[in-house]
Amino acid sequence: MTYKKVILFVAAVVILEIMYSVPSYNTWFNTKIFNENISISDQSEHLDVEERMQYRFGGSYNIFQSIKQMLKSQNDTDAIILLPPIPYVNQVGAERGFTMCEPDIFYYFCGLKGDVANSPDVQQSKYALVIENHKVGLKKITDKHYLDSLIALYKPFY
Amino acid sequence: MINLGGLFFLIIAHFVCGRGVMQLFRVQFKPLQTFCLSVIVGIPIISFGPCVLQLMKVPLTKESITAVVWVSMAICCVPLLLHVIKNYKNFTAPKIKLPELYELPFFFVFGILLGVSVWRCYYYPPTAADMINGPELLAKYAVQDKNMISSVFHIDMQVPRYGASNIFKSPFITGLQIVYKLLVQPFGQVWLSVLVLSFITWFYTILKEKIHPLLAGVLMVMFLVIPELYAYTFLMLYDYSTMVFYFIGFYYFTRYMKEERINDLFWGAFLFGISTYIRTETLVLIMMIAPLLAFHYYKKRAPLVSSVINLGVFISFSLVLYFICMKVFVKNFVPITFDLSKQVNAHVTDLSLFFDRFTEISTKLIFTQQGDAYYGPFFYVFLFVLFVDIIWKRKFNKETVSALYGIAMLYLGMAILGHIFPSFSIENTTKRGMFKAMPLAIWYMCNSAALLWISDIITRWENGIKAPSEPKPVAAKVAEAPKAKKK
Repeated sequence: MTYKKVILFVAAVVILEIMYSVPSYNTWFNTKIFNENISISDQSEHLDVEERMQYRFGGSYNIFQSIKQMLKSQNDTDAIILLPPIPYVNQVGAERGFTMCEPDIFYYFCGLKGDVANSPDVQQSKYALVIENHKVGLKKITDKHYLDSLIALYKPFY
Repeated sequence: MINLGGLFFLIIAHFVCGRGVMQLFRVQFKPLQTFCLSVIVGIPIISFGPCVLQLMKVPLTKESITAVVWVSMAICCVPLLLHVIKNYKNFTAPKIKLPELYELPFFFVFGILLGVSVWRCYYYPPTAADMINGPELLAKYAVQDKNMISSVFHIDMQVPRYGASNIFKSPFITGLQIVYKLLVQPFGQVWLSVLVLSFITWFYTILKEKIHPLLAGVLMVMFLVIPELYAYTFLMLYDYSTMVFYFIGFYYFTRYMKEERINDLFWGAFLFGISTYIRTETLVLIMMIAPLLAFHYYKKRAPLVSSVINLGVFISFSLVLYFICMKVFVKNFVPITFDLSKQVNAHVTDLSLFFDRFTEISTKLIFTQQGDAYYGPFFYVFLFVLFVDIIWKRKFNKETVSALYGIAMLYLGMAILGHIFPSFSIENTTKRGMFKAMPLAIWYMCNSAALLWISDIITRWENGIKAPSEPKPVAAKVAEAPKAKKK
């Protein structure tokens, strides 16, 4: 009886080999499961929570963290930041793979309150996240005129 | 980085809570199935913990969460203890059956796939946009502020934009994330691996009961390598969990129609209810299953009163859990208003969108190049097996009929939901909603007349049993007749 189990064992291996040779499965296995860029042994050397966040969310996360550090050093973490609209950022293009997000996701990443141009309390914005020459930066809003010009720039994108 | 003690404690808690609830329904299975199913059912029960604490206005801390988990275990233990006290004399240690040699190659593949899935679930933070502007956002700040009504609601949530409704969804994931963030690791999320591993193990055992392990292994690999479905074994969202409870509910619902054990019906209805609690739109799909039960009663001429009561109980589990989710939890934990009417199709009587959706599920989602990337050749294999059954065997048992009904209703239900809520996009909501069809399709293939025929041939060959030849009884009758005449 054992030889029959061995034959079935060989049959199982052959079936799996056939499945693996199906082009769509083969491509999927090689790109998604055994992807050389996603090495478990490499990842296991970087287990720190912040490292894992940076690895997953990339440039945007790093920029949001540096903004948070900057405001923390100025004891101004409760300030409202005017965020540019996503289509605007896509249009002008930003450095280091930066992608914009909604105020709720911005809050998730850094715990800072963001606002958009069509929010009711946009006039309370104290800072603005701006993109100049593809570089992302944080600017303090010093006068109402500057804030209004940003709102006017961003509003058509909503 | 990961608190293994906390994880072990929670797995035990899931098991105890789920086993206690199973005992209430008096459903019993083989030991491995019981363990897996208990863990699966225990997961949503533990998700209620933070919600209960919030209703009682108790701060969400590690200590209070641990306490509520202990209390849940203590309450759910009662029916289990009563059962043990009554039946301890009949207790026998479960027999452990080792797998066959030819199952090992499949286990090797399961090990690789599930190992990678578990690692990614642990390693990566929650990534889906629907999570980080919804349950994950709420959970992160609920843990930080020790309150589910957290500082998140100080930011402007009223601005209408994509994804803003995610905070109004079921607290299933929010609750579990709070528990796992406090007791296991900062990203939470590994409850998904606990659910996936338990479900895959349970599913394989029920396939093996029906079909030769060689074919069960092939079906299980087919299920695991569906690209999009596999991705959601480590990407936290609602759809994999809903699929698990929907399918297990369907399995026991079908078993009831076959074996007429009322406990199976109520147990299935309870699991459908959990599925509705996780993703409230599932209520529509449950309503669409009810006619199959009504037809079953009609066909066997069951008494009207008991049929109506059973149908009522069947639906009421989902309705009650829908009510708890929307009117108790969401209403109390999300202190901003949500206008559902803005999401509903303003021209609902114009059915053109429904027919568009109905055709688009095939033409834009499943049978396209993109569909191949999402689902691989899975649907083609399923349709091939169905075609062979229709052309060759032409035999459909209760399991296959109900699985086909479930798939058809799901397809129709997705089109209806897409018609009522146009924001249910084909490439997101419908794509993931179709996950529910996949275990049903596997279950169909497992009961397919053609595959059962192959399974029978392999089993008989393996065990050295000769095939019973059909003409024999006829020959015996003919042979007996002349003997009787001679006497």
